[in-house]
Amino acid sequence: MDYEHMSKEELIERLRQLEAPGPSEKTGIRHRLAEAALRDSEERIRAIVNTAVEGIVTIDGKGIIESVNPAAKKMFGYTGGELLGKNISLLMPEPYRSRHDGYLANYLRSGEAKIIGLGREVPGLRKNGEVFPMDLSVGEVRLDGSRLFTGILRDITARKEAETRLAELAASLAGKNKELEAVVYVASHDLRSPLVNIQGFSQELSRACEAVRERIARTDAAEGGEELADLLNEDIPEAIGYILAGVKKMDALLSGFLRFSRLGRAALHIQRLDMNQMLEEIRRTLDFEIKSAGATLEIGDLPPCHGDSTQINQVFTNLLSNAIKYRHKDRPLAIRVHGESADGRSIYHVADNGIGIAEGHRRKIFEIFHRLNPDESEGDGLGLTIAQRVLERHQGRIHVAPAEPHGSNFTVELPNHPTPRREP
Amino acid sequence: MTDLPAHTILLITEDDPGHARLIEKNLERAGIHNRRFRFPHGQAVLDFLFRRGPGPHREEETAYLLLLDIRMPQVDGIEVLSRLKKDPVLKSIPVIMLTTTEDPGEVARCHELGCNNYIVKPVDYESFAKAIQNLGLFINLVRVPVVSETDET
Repeated sequence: MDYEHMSKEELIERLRQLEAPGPSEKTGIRHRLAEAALRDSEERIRAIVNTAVEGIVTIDGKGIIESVNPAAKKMFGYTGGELLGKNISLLMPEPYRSRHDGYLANYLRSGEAKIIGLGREVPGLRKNGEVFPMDLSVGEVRLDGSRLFTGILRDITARKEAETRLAELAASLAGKNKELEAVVYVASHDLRSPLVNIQGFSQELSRACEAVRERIARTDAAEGGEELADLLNEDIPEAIGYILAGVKKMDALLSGFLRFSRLGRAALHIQRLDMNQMLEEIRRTLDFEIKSAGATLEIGDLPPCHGDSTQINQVFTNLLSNAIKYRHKDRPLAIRVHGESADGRSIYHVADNGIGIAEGHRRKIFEIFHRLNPDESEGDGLGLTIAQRVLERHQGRIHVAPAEPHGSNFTVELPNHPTPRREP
Repeated sequence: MTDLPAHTILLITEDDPGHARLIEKNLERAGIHNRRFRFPHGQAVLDFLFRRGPGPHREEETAYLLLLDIRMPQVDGIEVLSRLKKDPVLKSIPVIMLTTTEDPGEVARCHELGCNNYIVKPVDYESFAKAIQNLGLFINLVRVPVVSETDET
Protein backbone atom coordinates (compact mmCIF):
# COMPACT_ATOMS: atom_id res chain seq x y z
CA MET A 1 0.00 0.00 0.00
CA ASP A 2 1.07 3.48 -0.65
CA TYR A 3 -0.01 5.07 2.67
CA GLU A 4 3.37 4.98 4.26
CA HIS A 5 4.85 7.24 1.58
CA MET A 6 2.15 9.92 1.86
CA SER A 7 2.57 13.19 3.67
CA LYS A 8 0.20 14.18 6.46
CA GLU A 9 -1.69 16.53 4.12
CA GLU A 10 -2.07 13.86 1.48
CA LEU A 11 -3.40 11.39 4.03
CA ILE A 12 -5.95 13.90 5.28
CA GLU A 13 -7.05 14.51 1.71
CA ARG A 14 -7.36 10.79 1.08
CA LEU A 15 -9.40 10.40 4.25
CA ARG A 16 -11.66 13.26 3.26
CA GLN A 17 -12.27 11.63 -0.11
CA LEU A 18 -13.18 8.40 1.54
CA GLU A 19 -15.50 10.05 4.07
CA ALA A 20 -17.25 12.39 1.61
CA PRO A 21 -19.30 9.97 -0.39
CA GLY A 22 -19.90 10.53 -4.06
CA PRO A 23 -20.89 7.12 -5.41
CA SER A 24 -18.57 7.23 -8.41
CA GLU A 25 -15.73 8.43 -6.33
CA LYS A 26 -16.04 5.55 -3.85
CA THR A 27 -16.06 2.91 -6.59
CA GLY A 28 -12.99 4.52 -8.09
CA ILE A 29 -11.06 4.11 -4.88
CA ARG A 30 -12.17 0.49 -4.43
CA HIS A 31 -11.11 -0.21 -7.94
CA ARG A 32 -7.71 1.33 -7.40
CA LEU A 33 -7.25 -0.66 -4.22
CA ALA A 34 -8.14 -3.91 -6.01
CA GLU A 35 -5.67 -3.08 -8.75
CA ALA A 36 -2.96 -2.47 -6.23
CA ALA A 37 -3.67 -5.81 -4.55
CA LEU A 38 -3.48 -7.58 -7.90
CA ARG A 39 -0.20 -5.86 -8.73
CA ASP A 40 1.13 -6.88 -5.39
CA SER A 41 0.23 -10.54 -5.89
CA GLU A 42 1.65 -10.53 -9.44
CA GLU A 43 4.92 -9.20 -8.12
CA ARG A 44 5.06 -11.85 -5.46
CA ILE A 45 4.50 -14.58 -8.00
CA ARG A 46 7.09 -13.09 -10.32
CA ALA A 47 9.58 -12.99 -7.47
CA ILE A 48 8.88 -16.63 -6.68
CA VAL A 49 9.29 -17.68 -10.32
CA ASN A 50 12.45 -15.62 -10.74
CA THR A 51 14.16 -17.07 -7.70
CA ALA A 52 13.00 -20.68 -8.15
CA VAL A 53 15.80 -23.25 -8.37
CA GLU A 54 13.77 -25.24 -10.90
CA GLY A 55 13.49 -23.95 -14.43
CA ILE A 56 9.99 -22.71 -15.31
CA VAL A 57 8.97 -22.19 -18.93
CA THR A 58 5.51 -21.36 -20.28
CA ILE A 59 4.43 -21.91 -23.87
CA ASP A 60 1.25 -21.28 -25.78
CA GLY A 61 -0.84 -23.84 -27.64
CA LYS A 62 1.51 -23.64 -30.63
CA GLY A 63 4.62 -24.33 -28.61
CA ILE A 64 5.85 -20.73 -28.63
CA ILE A 65 7.76 -19.69 -25.51
CA GLU A 66 5.97 -16.97 -23.56
CA SER A 67 8.15 -16.82 -20.48
CA VAL A 68 11.37 -18.33 -19.18
CA ASN A 69 12.63 -17.92 -15.64
CA PRO A 70 16.31 -17.26 -14.90
CA ALA A 71 16.92 -20.82 -13.69
CA ALA A 72 15.69 -22.23 -17.03
CA LYS A 73 17.81 -19.76 -19.02
CA LYS A 74 20.85 -20.72 -17.00
CA MET A 75 20.10 -24.45 -17.38
CA PHE A 76 19.96 -24.18 -21.18
CA GLY A 77 22.74 -21.58 -21.46
CA TYR A 78 20.68 -18.67 -22.87
CA THR A 79 20.66 -15.03 -21.77
CA GLY A 80 18.21 -12.11 -21.89
CA GLY A 81 15.10 -12.50 -23.95
CA GLU A 82 16.50 -14.61 -26.77
CA LEU A 83 14.16 -17.55 -26.03
CA LEU A 84 10.94 -15.52 -25.99
CA GLY A 85 8.84 -16.10 -29.10
CA LYS A 86 10.90 -19.16 -30.14
CA ASN A 87 9.48 -22.67 -30.44
CA ILE A 88 10.07 -24.78 -27.34
CA SER A 89 11.49 -27.54 -29.54
CA LEU A 90 14.67 -25.45 -29.68
CA LEU A 91 15.45 -26.86 -26.22
CA MET A 92 15.11 -30.51 -27.28
CA PRO A 93 17.47 -32.84 -29.10
CA GLU A 94 16.28 -34.98 -31.99
CA PRO A 95 14.00 -36.88 -32.39
CA TYR A 96 11.90 -34.89 -29.91
CA ARG A 97 12.67 -31.62 -31.71
CA SER A 98 11.00 -32.64 -34.98
CA ARG A 99 8.14 -34.40 -33.30
CA HIS A 100 7.14 -31.84 -30.67
CA ASP A 101 4.78 -29.74 -32.80
CA GLY A 102 3.04 -32.98 -33.74
CA TYR A 103 2.76 -34.07 -30.10
CA LEU A 104 1.22 -30.75 -29.16
CA ALA A 105 -1.24 -30.69 -32.05
CA ASN A 106 -2.22 -34.24 -31.26
CA TYR A 107 -2.92 -33.35 -27.65
CA LEU A 108 -4.98 -30.29 -28.55
CA ARG A 109 -7.01 -32.38 -31.00
CA SER A 110 -7.52 -35.53 -28.97
CA GLY A 111 -7.05 -34.37 -25.40
CA GLU A 112 -4.93 -37.45 -24.85
CA ALA A 113 -2.16 -36.53 -22.42
CA LYS A 114 1.23 -38.22 -22.63
CA ILE A 115 3.11 -35.92 -20.29
CA ILE A 116 0.71 -33.12 -19.32
CA GLY A 117 -0.33 -33.39 -15.70
CA LEU A 118 2.50 -35.86 -15.18
CA GLY A 119 6.26 -35.77 -15.08
CA ARG A 120 9.02 -37.79 -16.58
CA GLU A 121 12.68 -37.93 -17.46
CA VAL A 122 13.53 -36.37 -20.84
CA PRO A 123 16.72 -35.13 -22.51
CA GLY A 124 17.27 -31.38 -22.85
CA LEU A 125 19.50 -29.54 -25.34
CA ARG A 126 21.72 -26.69 -24.21
CA LYS A 127 22.65 -23.76 -26.46
CA ASN A 128 26.16 -25.21 -26.80
CA GLY A 129 24.71 -28.46 -28.21
CA GLU A 130 25.15 -30.47 -25.03
CA VAL A 131 22.36 -32.94 -24.28
CA PHE A 132 21.54 -33.47 -20.61
CA PRO A 133 18.95 -35.45 -18.63
CA MET A 134 16.18 -33.58 -16.84
CA ASP A 135 13.01 -34.24 -14.94
CA LEU A 136 10.14 -32.46 -16.62
CA SER A 137 6.62 -31.93 -15.33
CA VAL A 138 4.01 -30.12 -17.39
CA GLY A 139 0.88 -28.39 -16.20
CA GLU A 140 -1.87 -26.81 -18.25
CA VAL A 141 -3.63 -23.48 -17.69
CA ARG A 142 -6.76 -22.41 -19.58
CA LEU A 143 -7.28 -18.65 -19.81
CA ASP A 144 -10.07 -17.00 -21.81
CA GLY A 145 -10.27 -19.83 -24.32
CA SER A 146 -6.49 -19.95 -24.90
CA ARG A 147 -4.16 -22.49 -23.41
CA LEU A 148 -0.91 -22.11 -21.60
CA PHE A 149 1.44 -24.95 -20.71
CA THR A 150 3.85 -24.65 -17.83
CA GLY A 151 6.96 -26.80 -17.77
CA ILE A 152 8.95 -27.22 -14.58
CA LEU A 153 12.45 -28.54 -15.23
CA ARG A 154 15.22 -29.90 -13.10
CA ASP A 155 18.70 -30.71 -14.40
CA ILE A 156 19.48 -34.24 -13.10
CA THR A 157 22.92 -34.64 -14.69
CA ALA A 158 24.64 -34.98 -11.31
CA ARG A 159 22.12 -37.52 -10.05
CA LYS A 160 22.37 -39.59 -13.23
CA GLU A 161 26.16 -39.55 -13.05
CA ALA A 162 26.01 -40.71 -9.44
CA GLU A 163 23.59 -43.48 -10.44
CA THR A 164 25.90 -44.56 -13.26
CA ARG A 165 28.91 -44.55 -10.95
CA LEU A 166 26.98 -46.60 -8.41
CA ALA A 167 25.93 -49.13 -11.05
CA GLU A 168 29.52 -49.38 -12.28
CA LEU A 169 30.73 -49.87 -8.75
CA ALA A 170 28.15 -52.59 -8.12
CA ALA A 171 29.12 -54.32 -11.37
CA SER A 172 32.80 -54.14 -10.53
CA LEU A 173 32.14 -55.49 -7.04
CA ALA A 174 30.11 -58.37 -8.42
CA GLY A 175 32.93 -59.02 -10.90
CA LYS A 176 35.50 -59.01 -8.11
CA ASN A 177 33.34 -61.40 -6.13
CA LYS A 178 33.18 -63.79 -9.06
CA GLU A 179 36.92 -63.46 -9.59
CA LEU A 180 37.53 -64.24 -5.95
CA GLU A 181 35.34 -67.31 -6.17
CA ALA A 182 37.26 -68.46 -9.22
CA VAL A 183 40.57 -67.95 -7.38
CA VAL A 184 39.27 -69.85 -4.37
CA TYR A 185 38.14 -72.65 -6.65
CA VAL A 186 41.40 -72.99 -8.54
CA ALA A 187 43.50 -72.61 -5.41
CA SER A 188 41.52 -75.25 -3.51
CA HIS A 189 41.69 -77.59 -6.43
CA ASP A 190 45.42 -77.18 -6.93
CA LEU A 191 46.19 -77.36 -3.22
CA ARG A 192 44.54 -80.75 -2.98
CA SER A 193 47.03 -82.15 -5.45
CA PRO A 194 50.12 -81.93 -3.19
CA LEU A 195 47.95 -83.13 -0.33
CA VAL A 196 47.37 -86.40 -2.18
CA ASN A 197 51.15 -86.86 -2.20
CA ILE A 198 51.68 -85.95 1.44
CA GLN A 199 49.04 -88.40 2.55
CA GLY A 200 49.92 -91.11 0.07
CA PHE A 201 53.62 -91.11 0.81
CA SER A 202 53.12 -90.84 4.57
CA GLN A 203 51.21 -94.07 4.26
CA GLU A 204 54.02 -95.50 2.16
CA LEU A 205 56.42 -94.57 4.98
CA SER A 206 54.12 -96.29 7.45
CA ARG A 207 54.16 -99.42 5.38
CA ALA A 208 57.95 -99.27 5.05
CA CYS A 209 58.30 -98.92 8.83
CA GLU A 210 56.02 -101.88 9.32
CA ALA A 211 58.22 -103.93 7.02
CA VAL A 212 61.37 -102.86 8.85
CA ARG A 213 59.74 -103.68 12.20
CA GLU A 214 58.89 -107.18 11.06
CA ARG A 215 62.41 -107.64 9.77
CA ILE A 216 63.94 -106.55 13.11
CA ALA A 217 61.59 -108.80 15.02
CA ARG A 218 62.90 -111.75 13.04
CA THR A 219 66.61 -110.96 13.46
CA ASP A 220 66.82 -111.51 17.21
CA ALA A 221 68.38 -108.84 19.42
CA ALA A 222 70.62 -107.18 16.90
CA GLU A 223 72.86 -104.49 18.27
CA GLY A 224 70.81 -101.35 19.08
CA GLY A 225 67.66 -103.31 18.29
CA GLU A 226 65.78 -101.88 21.23
CA GLU A 227 66.52 -98.32 20.24
CA LEU A 228 65.42 -99.05 16.67
CA ALA A 229 62.23 -100.63 17.96
CA ASP A 230 61.44 -97.45 19.93
CA LEU A 231 61.88 -95.35 16.83
CA LEU A 232 59.76 -97.66 14.78
CA ASN A 233 57.05 -98.24 17.37
CA GLU A 234 56.70 -94.75 18.78
CA ASP A 235 58.56 -91.84 17.24
CA ILE A 236 57.89 -92.51 13.57
CA PRO A 237 54.22 -93.50 13.98
CA GLU A 238 53.68 -90.42 16.13
CA ALA A 239 55.18 -88.16 13.46
CA ILE A 240 53.18 -89.78 10.72
CA GLY A 241 50.05 -89.53 12.87
CA TYR A 242 50.44 -85.78 13.14
CA ILE A 243 51.17 -85.43 9.44
CA LEU A 244 48.04 -87.37 8.53
CA ALA A 245 45.86 -85.48 11.02
CA GLY A 246 47.11 -82.21 9.49
CA VAL A 247 46.37 -83.46 6.00
CA LYS A 248 42.86 -84.48 7.02
CA LYS A 249 42.16 -81.08 8.50
CA MET A 250 43.53 -79.26 5.47
CA ASP A 251 41.54 -81.48 3.16
CA ALA A 252 38.36 -80.66 5.05
CA LEU A 253 39.09 -76.94 4.74
CA LEU A 254 39.79 -77.20 1.04
CA SER A 255 36.61 -79.22 0.47
CA GLY A 256 34.74 -76.46 2.28
CA PHE A 257 36.28 -73.79 0.07
CA LEU A 258 35.40 -75.79 -3.02
CA ARG A 259 31.84 -76.28 -1.88
CA PHE A 260 31.49 -72.59 -1.12
CA SER A 261 32.96 -71.40 -4.41
CA ARG A 262 30.88 -73.88 -6.40
CA LEU A 263 27.78 -72.39 -4.81
CA GLY A 264 28.50 -68.95 -6.27
CA ARG A 265 29.06 -70.46 -9.71
CA ALA A 266 25.96 -72.64 -9.81
CA ALA A 267 23.15 -71.24 -11.96
CA LEU A 268 19.95 -70.33 -10.10
CA HIS A 269 16.64 -71.73 -11.31
CA ILE A 270 14.18 -69.32 -9.76
CA GLN A 271 10.66 -70.64 -9.42
CA ARG A 272 7.70 -70.37 -7.08
CA LEU A 273 8.39 -72.52 -4.04
CA ASP A 274 5.73 -74.13 -1.90
CA MET A 275 7.46 -73.76 1.43
CA ASN A 276 4.99 -75.95 3.36
CA GLN A 277 5.92 -78.78 1.04
CA MET A 278 9.64 -78.02 1.24
CA LEU A 279 9.68 -77.96 5.05
CA GLU A 280 7.80 -81.27 5.16
CA GLU A 281 10.44 -82.76 2.85
CA ILE A 282 13.20 -81.47 5.10
CA ARG A 283 11.37 -82.89 8.12
CA ARG A 284 11.40 -86.31 6.46
CA THR A 285 15.08 -86.00 5.54
CA LEU A 286 16.04 -85.05 9.10
CA ASP A 287 13.60 -87.49 10.68
CA PHE A 288 16.36 -89.63 12.17
CA GLU A 289 18.25 -86.67 13.66
CA ILE A 290 15.06 -85.15 15.06
CA LYS A 291 14.00 -88.40 16.72
CA SER A 292 17.50 -89.16 18.05
CA ALA A 293 17.61 -85.73 19.66
CA GLY A 294 14.13 -86.24 21.16
CA ALA A 295 13.14 -82.98 19.50
CA THR A 296 9.77 -81.63 18.43
CA LEU A 297 9.43 -79.72 15.19
CA GLU A 298 6.35 -77.55 14.77
CA ILE A 299 5.78 -76.09 11.31
CA GLY A 300 3.17 -73.35 10.90
CA ASP A 301 1.46 -72.33 7.66
CA LEU A 302 4.20 -70.80 5.50
CA PRO A 303 3.79 -68.34 2.63
CA PRO A 304 5.33 -69.33 -0.71
CA CYS A 305 8.41 -67.55 -2.07
CA HIS A 306 10.52 -67.41 -5.22
CA GLY A 307 13.92 -69.02 -5.28
CA ASP A 308 16.11 -71.90 -6.37
CA SER A 309 14.62 -75.05 -4.91
CA THR A 310 17.92 -76.83 -4.14
CA GLN A 311 19.62 -73.83 -2.60
CA ILE A 312 16.67 -72.68 -0.49
CA ASN A 313 16.21 -76.26 0.69
CA GLN A 314 19.85 -76.20 1.77
CA VAL A 315 19.34 -72.98 3.75
CA PHE A 316 16.46 -74.44 5.78
CA THR A 317 18.13 -77.83 6.15
CA ASN A 318 21.21 -76.06 7.55
CA LEU A 319 19.10 -74.02 9.96
CA LEU A 320 17.25 -77.08 11.24
CA SER A 321 20.43 -79.15 11.57
CA ASN A 322 22.03 -76.29 13.46
CA ALA A 323 19.07 -76.18 15.84
CA ILE A 324 19.54 -79.91 16.47
CA LYS A 325 23.32 -79.62 16.77
CA TYR A 326 23.22 -76.71 19.22
CA ARG A 327 20.41 -77.96 21.45
CA HIS A 328 20.59 -77.53 25.20
CA LYS A 329 21.25 -80.78 27.01
CA ASP A 330 19.04 -79.88 29.98
CA ARG A 331 15.76 -79.29 28.14
CA PRO A 332 14.04 -81.15 25.31
CA LEU A 333 14.58 -79.39 22.01
CA ALA A 334 11.56 -77.63 20.52
CA ILE A 335 11.90 -76.08 17.06
CA ARG A 336 9.20 -73.85 15.67
CA VAL A 337 9.06 -72.71 12.03
CA HIS A 338 6.54 -70.04 11.10
CA GLY A 339 6.20 -67.32 8.52
CA GLU A 340 4.36 -64.29 7.22
CA SER A 341 4.19 -62.02 4.16
CA ALA A 342 5.01 -58.31 4.16
CA ASP A 343 5.80 -55.82 1.41
CA GLY A 344 6.38 -58.32 -1.35
CA ARG A 345 8.60 -60.40 0.92
CA SER A 346 8.09 -63.74 2.57
CA ILE A 347 9.54 -63.86 6.04
CA TYR A 348 10.32 -67.13 7.81
CA HIS A 349 11.38 -67.73 11.38
CA VAL A 350 13.21 -70.78 12.65
CA ALA A 351 13.19 -70.57 16.42
CA ASP A 352 14.68 -73.04 18.88
CA ASN A 353 15.17 -73.33 22.63
CA GLY A 354 18.79 -74.40 22.33
CA ILE A 355 21.99 -72.97 23.77
CA GLY A 356 21.50 -69.63 21.97
CA ILE A 357 24.19 -67.34 20.64
CA ALA A 358 25.91 -64.77 22.80
CA GLU A 359 25.48 -61.25 21.47
CA GLY A 360 29.17 -60.90 20.66
CA HIS A 361 29.04 -63.97 18.42
CA ARG A 362 26.02 -63.09 16.34
CA ARG A 363 27.97 -61.61 13.46
CA LYS A 364 30.77 -64.14 13.60
CA ILE A 365 28.51 -67.14 13.06
CA PHE A 366 28.13 -66.19 9.39
CA GLU A 367 31.91 -66.16 8.82
CA ILE A 368 33.40 -68.98 6.81
CA PHE A 369 34.70 -71.88 8.95
CA HIS A 370 33.53 -70.24 12.15
CA ARG A 371 32.26 -72.79 14.63
CA LEU A 372 30.91 -72.06 18.05
CA ASN A 373 31.90 -75.27 19.81
CA PRO A 374 34.39 -77.06 17.58
CA ASP A 375 35.00 -79.76 20.16
CA GLU A 376 31.40 -80.46 21.09
CA SER A 377 29.68 -80.62 17.75
CA GLU A 378 30.18 -81.91 14.26
CA GLY A 379 30.24 -79.56 11.30
CA ASP A 380 32.38 -77.97 8.68
CA GLY A 381 31.69 -74.38 9.76
CA LEU A 382 30.01 -73.62 6.46
CA GLY A 383 26.26 -73.98 7.08
CA LEU A 384 25.45 -70.37 7.87
CA THR A 385 28.07 -68.97 5.49
CA ILE A 386 26.39 -70.91 2.72
CA ALA A 387 22.93 -69.81 3.89
CA GLN A 388 23.99 -66.19 3.82
CA ARG A 389 25.57 -66.49 0.37
CA VAL A 390 22.46 -68.21 -1.01
CA LEU A 391 20.23 -65.45 0.34
CA GLU A 392 22.52 -62.73 -1.05
CA ARG A 393 22.15 -64.28 -4.47
CA HIS A 394 18.36 -64.39 -4.03
CA GLN A 395 18.19 -60.77 -2.88
CA GLY A 396 17.05 -62.07 0.46
CA ARG A 397 18.38 -61.71 3.98
CA ILE A 398 19.16 -63.77 7.03
CA HIS A 399 19.69 -62.61 10.56
CA VAL A 400 19.54 -63.97 14.05
CA ALA A 401 18.06 -62.73 17.30
CA PRO A 402 17.70 -64.37 20.69
CA ALA A 403 14.49 -66.35 21.22
CA GLU A 404 12.46 -66.03 24.41
CA PRO A 405 13.16 -67.37 26.97
CA HIS A 406 16.03 -69.46 25.53
CA GLY A 407 17.60 -70.21 22.22
CA SER A 408 17.92 -68.53 18.84
CA ASN A 409 15.49 -67.18 16.29
CA PHE A 410 16.78 -67.13 12.72
CA THR A 411 14.83 -64.95 10.32
CA VAL A 412 15.02 -65.55 6.58
CA GLU A 413 13.56 -63.08 4.10
CA LEU A 414 12.92 -63.96 0.47
CA PRO A 415 11.12 -62.24 -2.38
CA ASN A 416 7.63 -63.65 -2.98
CA HIS A 417 7.63 -62.64 -6.64
CA PRO A 418 10.23 -63.25 -9.36
CA THR A 419 12.87 -60.52 -9.05
CA PRO A 420 15.28 -59.41 -11.78
CA ARG A 421 18.82 -60.69 -11.28
CA ARG A 422 21.22 -58.12 -9.93
CA GLU A 423 24.35 -60.09 -10.63
CA PRO A 424 25.94 -59.50 -14.04
CA MET B 1 43.14 -110.40 -8.30
CA THR B 2 42.66 -109.42 -11.86
CA ASP B 3 42.54 -111.04 -15.21
CA LEU B 4 43.23 -107.92 -17.18
CA PRO B 5 44.52 -109.24 -20.50
CA ALA B 6 48.26 -109.36 -19.94
CA HIS B 7 49.05 -107.74 -23.24
CA THR B 8 47.02 -104.59 -22.45
CA ILE B 9 49.28 -101.62 -21.97
CA LEU B 10 48.31 -98.98 -19.41
CA LEU B 11 48.95 -95.41 -20.46
CA ILE B 12 49.22 -93.29 -17.33
CA THR B 13 48.98 -89.58 -18.13
CA GLU B 14 49.66 -87.62 -14.99
CA ASP B 15 51.61 -84.40 -14.56
CA ASP B 16 52.34 -84.97 -10.88
CA PRO B 17 55.10 -87.60 -10.59
CA GLY B 18 54.05 -88.39 -7.00
CA HIS B 19 50.50 -89.18 -8.05
CA ALA B 20 51.80 -91.32 -10.90
CA ARG B 21 54.03 -93.23 -8.51
CA LEU B 22 51.18 -93.78 -6.03
CA ILE B 23 48.94 -95.02 -8.82
CA GLU B 24 51.64 -97.47 -9.92
CA LYS B 25 52.29 -98.75 -6.41
CA ASN B 26 48.59 -99.32 -5.89
CA LEU B 27 48.15 -100.99 -9.23
CA GLU B 28 50.92 -103.39 -8.19
CA ARG B 29 49.27 -104.04 -4.83
CA ALA B 30 45.99 -104.67 -6.60
CA GLY B 31 47.82 -107.31 -8.64
CA ILE B 32 47.80 -105.39 -11.90
CA HIS B 33 51.24 -106.00 -13.41
CA ASN B 34 50.56 -104.93 -16.97
CA ARG B 35 53.11 -102.92 -18.89
CA ARG B 36 52.83 -99.26 -18.22
CA PHE B 37 53.83 -96.15 -20.09
CA ARG B 38 53.90 -92.88 -18.24
CA PHE B 39 53.24 -89.50 -19.89
CA PRO B 40 53.88 -86.22 -18.08
CA HIS B 41 51.22 -84.20 -19.94
CA GLY B 42 48.37 -84.36 -22.41
CA GLN B 43 50.41 -83.45 -25.48
CA ALA B 44 52.80 -86.38 -24.87
CA VAL B 45 50.02 -88.97 -24.87
CA LEU B 46 48.38 -87.38 -27.91
CA ASP B 47 51.72 -87.53 -29.80
CA PHE B 48 52.03 -91.18 -28.82
CA LEU B 49 48.53 -92.13 -29.89
CA PHE B 50 48.37 -90.04 -33.04
CA ARG B 51 51.96 -90.98 -33.90
CA ARG B 52 53.37 -87.52 -34.06
CA GLY B 53 56.72 -86.06 -33.04
CA PRO B 54 59.98 -87.84 -32.33
CA GLY B 55 58.95 -89.84 -29.22
CA PRO B 56 57.64 -93.41 -29.04
CA HIS B 57 54.48 -94.11 -31.00
CA ARG B 58 51.50 -96.36 -30.58
CA GLU B 59 51.89 -99.77 -32.15
CA GLU B 60 49.40 -101.63 -34.23
CA GLU B 61 47.42 -104.60 -32.97
CA THR B 62 47.97 -103.55 -29.36
CA ALA B 63 45.36 -103.04 -26.67
CA TYR B 64 45.68 -99.84 -24.63
CA LEU B 65 43.90 -98.48 -21.63
CA LEU B 66 44.25 -94.82 -20.74
CA LEU B 67 44.37 -93.41 -17.22
CA LEU B 68 43.99 -89.68 -17.67
CA ASP B 69 44.45 -86.92 -15.15
CA ILE B 70 42.05 -84.06 -15.82
CA ARG B 71 43.98 -81.08 -14.60
CA MET B 72 47.26 -80.75 -16.45
CA PRO B 73 49.00 -77.68 -17.83
CA GLN B 74 48.40 -76.85 -21.51
CA VAL B 75 46.64 -79.86 -23.01
CA ASP B 76 44.43 -81.06 -20.18
CA GLY B 77 42.63 -84.36 -19.73
CA ILE B 78 39.32 -83.09 -21.04
CA GLU B 79 40.95 -82.06 -24.30
CA VAL B 80 42.77 -85.37 -24.70
CA LEU B 81 39.49 -87.19 -24.08
CA SER B 82 37.54 -85.14 -26.62
CA ARG B 83 40.28 -85.53 -29.27
CA LEU B 84 40.32 -89.31 -28.80
CA LYS B 85 36.57 -89.63 -28.93
CA LYS B 86 36.48 -87.74 -32.22
CA ASP B 87 38.87 -90.20 -33.84
CA PRO B 88 37.11 -93.13 -35.53
CA VAL B 89 39.64 -95.71 -34.32
CA LEU B 90 41.11 -94.23 -31.12
CA LYS B 91 37.65 -93.62 -29.72
CA SER B 92 37.45 -97.32 -28.83
CA ILE B 93 40.29 -97.06 -26.28
CA PRO B 94 38.80 -97.19 -22.76
CA VAL B 95 39.51 -94.00 -20.82
CA ILE B 96 39.43 -93.62 -17.05
CA MET B 97 39.55 -90.07 -15.81
CA LEU B 98 41.46 -89.25 -12.63
CA THR B 99 40.86 -86.06 -10.72
CA THR B 100 41.47 -84.52 -7.34
CA THR B 101 38.01 -82.97 -6.95
CA GLU B 102 34.53 -84.29 -7.36
CA ASP B 103 33.09 -81.42 -9.32
CA PRO B 104 29.61 -82.48 -10.49
CA GLY B 105 29.93 -80.30 -13.60
CA GLU B 106 33.27 -81.88 -14.46
CA VAL B 107 31.98 -85.43 -13.94
CA ALA B 108 29.01 -84.72 -16.19
CA ARG B 109 31.26 -83.24 -18.87
CA CYS B 110 33.58 -86.26 -18.89
CA HIS B 111 30.67 -88.66 -19.22
CA GLU B 112 29.21 -86.53 -21.98
CA LEU B 113 32.49 -86.75 -23.85
CA GLY B 114 32.46 -90.51 -23.47
CA CYS B 115 34.88 -91.48 -20.72
CA ASN B 116 34.38 -95.02 -19.39
CA ASN B 117 34.92 -94.27 -15.75
CA TYR B 118 35.78 -91.46 -13.42
CA ILE B 119 37.87 -91.79 -10.27
CA VAL B 120 38.38 -89.12 -7.66
CA LYS B 121 41.87 -89.34 -6.21
CA PRO B 122 40.97 -89.31 -2.57
CA VAL B 123 43.41 -87.97 -0.07
CA ASP B 124 42.35 -90.80 2.17
CA TYR B 125 44.93 -93.43 1.27
CA GLU B 126 42.73 -96.44 2.04
CA SER B 127 39.95 -95.33 -0.26
CA PHE B 128 42.52 -94.42 -2.87
CA ALA B 129 43.82 -97.99 -2.82
CA LYS B 130 40.27 -99.26 -2.97
CA ALA B 131 39.53 -97.03 -5.96
CA ILE B 132 42.55 -98.39 -7.78
CA GLN B 133 41.54 -101.94 -6.91
CA ASN B 134 38.05 -101.28 -8.22
CA LEU B 135 39.76 -99.96 -11.28
CA GLY B 136 41.47 -103.33 -11.66
CA LEU B 137 38.10 -105.06 -11.45
CA PHE B 138 36.67 -102.57 -13.82
CA ILE B 139 39.43 -103.10 -16.35
CA ASN B 140 38.40 -106.75 -16.42
CA LEU B 141 34.92 -105.82 -17.40
CA VAL B 142 35.79 -103.40 -20.13
CA ARG B 143 36.43 -105.01 -23.43
CA VAL B 144 39.85 -103.69 -24.29
CA PRO B 145 39.88 -103.31 -28.03
CA VAL B 146 42.90 -103.81 -30.18
CA VAL B 147 43.68 -100.55 -31.86
CA SER B 148 44.78 -100.99 -35.43
CA GLU B 149 45.76 -98.64 -38.20
CA THR B 150 44.17 -95.25 -38.24
CA ASP B 151 44.50 -92.17 -40.37
CA GLU B 152 46.63 -89.51 -38.84
CA THR B 153 44.63 -86.39 -38.27
